[in-house]
Amino acid sequence: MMEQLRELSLCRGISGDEDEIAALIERLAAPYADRIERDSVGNLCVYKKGKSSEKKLLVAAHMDEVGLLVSYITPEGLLRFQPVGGIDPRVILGRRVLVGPTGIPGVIGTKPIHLSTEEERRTAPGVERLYIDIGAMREEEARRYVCEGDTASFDSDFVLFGDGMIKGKALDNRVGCAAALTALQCTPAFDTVFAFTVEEEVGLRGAYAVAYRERPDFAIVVDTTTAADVDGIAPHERACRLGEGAVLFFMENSTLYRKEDYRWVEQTAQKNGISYQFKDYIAGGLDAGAIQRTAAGIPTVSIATPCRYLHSPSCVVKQSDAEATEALLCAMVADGTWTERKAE
Amino acid sequence: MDWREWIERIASIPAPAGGEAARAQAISRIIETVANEIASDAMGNLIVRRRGTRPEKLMLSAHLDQPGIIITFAEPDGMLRFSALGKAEPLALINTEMVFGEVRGVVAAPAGIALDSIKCSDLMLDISASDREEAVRLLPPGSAGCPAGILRRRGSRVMAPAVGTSVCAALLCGLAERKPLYDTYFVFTAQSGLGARGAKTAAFAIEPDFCVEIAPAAESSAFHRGDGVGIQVSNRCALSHPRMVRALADAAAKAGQRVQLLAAQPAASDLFMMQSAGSGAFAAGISLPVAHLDTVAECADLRDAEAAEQALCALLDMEIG
Repeated sequence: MMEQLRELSLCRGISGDEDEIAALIERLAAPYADRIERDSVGNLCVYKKGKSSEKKLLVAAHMDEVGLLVSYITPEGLLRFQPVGGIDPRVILGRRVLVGPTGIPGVIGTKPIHLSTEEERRTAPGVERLYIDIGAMREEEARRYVCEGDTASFDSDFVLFGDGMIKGKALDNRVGCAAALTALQCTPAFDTVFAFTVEEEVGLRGAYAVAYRERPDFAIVVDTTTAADVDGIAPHERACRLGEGAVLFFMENSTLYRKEDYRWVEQTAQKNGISYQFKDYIAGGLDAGAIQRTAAGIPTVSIATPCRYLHSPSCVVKQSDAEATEALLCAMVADGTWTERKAE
Repeated sequence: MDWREWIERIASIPAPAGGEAARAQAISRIIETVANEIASDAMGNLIVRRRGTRPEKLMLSAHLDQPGIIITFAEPDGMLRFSALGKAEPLALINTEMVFGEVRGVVAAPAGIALDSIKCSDLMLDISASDREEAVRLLPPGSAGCPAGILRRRGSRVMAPAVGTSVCAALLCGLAERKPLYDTYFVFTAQSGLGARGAKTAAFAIEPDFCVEIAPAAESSAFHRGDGVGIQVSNRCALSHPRMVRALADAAAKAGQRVQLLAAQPAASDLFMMQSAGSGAFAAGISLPVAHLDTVAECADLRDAEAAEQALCALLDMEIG
């Protein structure tokens, strides 16, 4: 899993600009797929025959990542930008980025401290005070390499460190993509569409189209979710914890899950001896919000790997949690008992 | 049976978002004798169809769910943390008794907390559990509950937690007893308080031509109990269609009822989901004026509900121009 995850993490795919990551996932999925298609909004749909064709399962993992969008080039050749997805501007100053289709190196800058006002020094700069410096001296020079509308991704190494920890960019949600790619290798109980969705980070937009087109009988979303298990946060606000296994959900901001559905996920984890935790603080949203309420309604569950510093250049997950999420997804796909869920 | 008698039955069954099944079942039993078809869907909506003589489809919605809370975390001492399910204001929750099936608890605020900046995550539910283990056994994370409270009546006034929703649901049950002109769907929507989530899938399945949402709205200086049938012209996320507003106004006039128009209501609504489903539908809303909306002491006047009933009965009979 680690080698594949390294490749997925380093690959670029800002929301709306997912061709590079889609091509990589297509290459990784091809040996195990019956059929692969990209739909009109860019979702990569990988079809896999199951033991039975009586029902249809959708597994959705978003492949896009948060990043930046070049919105204006200054006469000095600096790039003003807009965030794509939820980015905390406090964590990006001074970071390296890769801009445009060829990945021009750049660094995020702001005006020097000795020229900042008292007020500016006290507060972290918002995106309006930041720019990307690609080393160009004039607008015309910058335009040779980039143009408005180009996306920029974080330039961040994939590193294993500490007690089984992984640090990298876009672990949200390349960890989920890696899990889905592993699950693709098993024989599903029912015909399954593995959808690598676009534009999750800007409003679950790709998932709407996939769910509408496929109309599955059941859907599983696999993602990462924010862990606030750090110093200074009260236990009840930590949401989930690294090292405690796959995260299960009864609710997040976009979805209220049905009890019989998330209980089935829990039972599958228990049956297979997979460590799990419930997300115990309501925050964030997942593709489930789009899928569950598509068409006349689709029963949907979600699982996730806990991730610290989500949406930053340095996401941190624990390898054992990523493996638990992967094992749980494989078990859920192979196990057809989701058809036997009973309302409580 | 008179629909007014059903208000208490509906109000007595707590229905937090996601936990609407018991209330839906009770309504289903009330309404099954007149229904041509009854269905529930993946979101927990109850959809009741009554065929008319005309093929166009009319969808009438009332909400199933009421504001509540969902348990998220248990402290070592047995106190429970929770999050709001819908419009549960932290200030209004303090010292409120909450009901979760057999289990009851009281919302506690930590001593000395600044009330002006209080959040749900600052509050705790005390169910008299002595430790985390007991608390989780009684109310596992994911359990949803509502404010406890019995319905009180004085004259035409009724008071109970979320009584406006119960009145609207009972009224919709009453309307289903009338033979409609159009193919009519009486829809009791789930998860309305979380952003009209149930209405979205119900409207997709029905593909209505005309829609009316029947829902409570806060009484204000411009919208009073006793001042006539409330017709919603707009809210935060939808504009009613003038054609449907006119139809409701005509229906009210036919029924001899005065009308008060409401604009810019703050709530998200079924209205938006219904009008934007499929290739779109003509939609408007009927609003029931309610005092102390979304508190344990919500108060509605049955005369307003009766006025709305008269107008909606007229609507069921008439051609929508």
